Amino acid sequence: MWKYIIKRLGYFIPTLFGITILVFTLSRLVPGSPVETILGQHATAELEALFEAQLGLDKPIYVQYIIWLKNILSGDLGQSLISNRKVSYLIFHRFQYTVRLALCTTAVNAVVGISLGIISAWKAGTKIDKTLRLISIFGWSMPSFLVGIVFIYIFALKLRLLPAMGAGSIAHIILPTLTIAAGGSSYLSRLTRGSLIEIAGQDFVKTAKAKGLTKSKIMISHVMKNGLLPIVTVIASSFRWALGGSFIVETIFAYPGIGYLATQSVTHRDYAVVIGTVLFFAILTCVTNLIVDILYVYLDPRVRYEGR
Amino acid sequence: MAKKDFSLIFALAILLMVIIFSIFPQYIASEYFTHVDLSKRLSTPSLENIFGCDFLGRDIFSLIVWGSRIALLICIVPTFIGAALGVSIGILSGYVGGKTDDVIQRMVEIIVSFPGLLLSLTIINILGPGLWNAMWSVTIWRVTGFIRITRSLTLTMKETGYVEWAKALGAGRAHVMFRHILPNILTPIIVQLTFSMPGTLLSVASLSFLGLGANPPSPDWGVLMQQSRKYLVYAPWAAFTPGIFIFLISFAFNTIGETFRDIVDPRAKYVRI
Repeated sequence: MWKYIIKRLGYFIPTLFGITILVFTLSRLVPGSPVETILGQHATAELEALFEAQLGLDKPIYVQYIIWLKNILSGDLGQSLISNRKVSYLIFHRFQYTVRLALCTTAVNAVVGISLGIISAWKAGTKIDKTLRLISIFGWSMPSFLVGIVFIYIFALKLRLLPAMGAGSIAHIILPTLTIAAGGSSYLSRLTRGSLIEIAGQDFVKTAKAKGLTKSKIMISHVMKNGLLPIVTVIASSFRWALGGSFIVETIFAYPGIGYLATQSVTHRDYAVVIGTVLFFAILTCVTNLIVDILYVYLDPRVRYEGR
Repeated sequence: MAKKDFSLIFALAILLMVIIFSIFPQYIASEYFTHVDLSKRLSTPSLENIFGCDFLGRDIFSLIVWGSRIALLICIVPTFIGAALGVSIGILSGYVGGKTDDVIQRMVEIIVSFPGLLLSLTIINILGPGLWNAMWSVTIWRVTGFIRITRSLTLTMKETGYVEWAKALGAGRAHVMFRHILPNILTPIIVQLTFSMPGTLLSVASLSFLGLGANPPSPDWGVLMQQSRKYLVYAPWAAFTPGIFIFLISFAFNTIGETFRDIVDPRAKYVRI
């Protein structure tokens, strides 16, 4: 197992570097040079050269990258043009909201999705399975922004039960969670069903049936125990999905998370914030993948012994 | 069986309707969509305006019909270009293996670490908003998806008899890749293609909804939703209707994809305990 973990970390580090290089490249591709932005109308050749030297822009690109990287590692992600706050401050302050939303969504996804998946698999081939499948495709095809505004219309505008915007109480998080969960649980239920059915097709299940075990016993002791193992990976990908889905949903509900920050910054051309957010999310996803992979190795004994 | 057949027929009907809308919008929608009638602002659905009018008094039904062309364009272009690039790179990566494979896989992993929408947002940040920029930004995500799938399929195919046989007969690498491996992995790729289309539509529509995709007064459905969102209280149908159509196309492609996958991969259907 440790051999695998070390190998996995060996993949992680270059990927992390690759991410920083890509983000740095994106940050330099952004239109308009910072010098022009600062100087505006007062730009003359000499002033530009002066500023460039001051900002370190006249140095070769790899030196600029190293300076940038050093800044990142010390926590300096730049300054927001719009709010005039440090990018790191903005991200740090809003991170808790996004995480809250992502966790709630993952919880709802997991509970609803996995239960429906288990029911689907148990009753595979029957009408219940077919109906659930239809419902899944329904949920999966729903654009999150449609679900969001429908919920706002019904629960906030017409019924006046739940708040449509902002954050601050549990009530505020309900609608955004349900919006993302609509798609996520459908997806999760399909994955669970697929995984369980694949396990059920294997020989050891046939053996169990031949031994005379009842269907319930087979499902619970054999199929689910094995089939739910990839669910760990699936829940993790559900978490990542929730993070990804948060952009639209947070924007619709004006929920003050990082997703909303990102979309606002793109609309307002606040480049520093966009780059900071991108870097943050990429690294977060990378780290989540790493944790999931290691967790999976820990849970699945087969992978552990593969190296021997 | 009955339920599934019904939904498949429904899906095909929807697709047919949208295709007809795209080819002959001028015969179906009674007016060109830019006709503005301010006296009818936000009017409720009526016999004359089937889905009502939006905030400028434009007939929503016309807007949707004229927008279907854009919607289908969005579905098709990024998916097919993504597939063409992704499959080629994937086969190359899977078959050639070694250092090339490693390098390509690293790059794919790096791109995949970025949440799809965020990557699109950044690219639009650089290129500027617009329908085509939005589509290109989504294409990159599609390419990586296809690379991954094609590569794993190629790896499986590499071990089969066809490839050994062809190599024994002296076939060159390009020949093996495109004459042997590609035709055999085509079916799962077509399934993936069918599933990619709704994803692409939803992504680009999301970008339009955020104001970063197509520009008004384009009849793109995402843009329509974004514009009508302000008037949700007065005229919810103005915002809901384009969304429902996006959902319908998505649903149609997903159902067709699922049915297709069942035909191609019957394992998931028949196993019972």
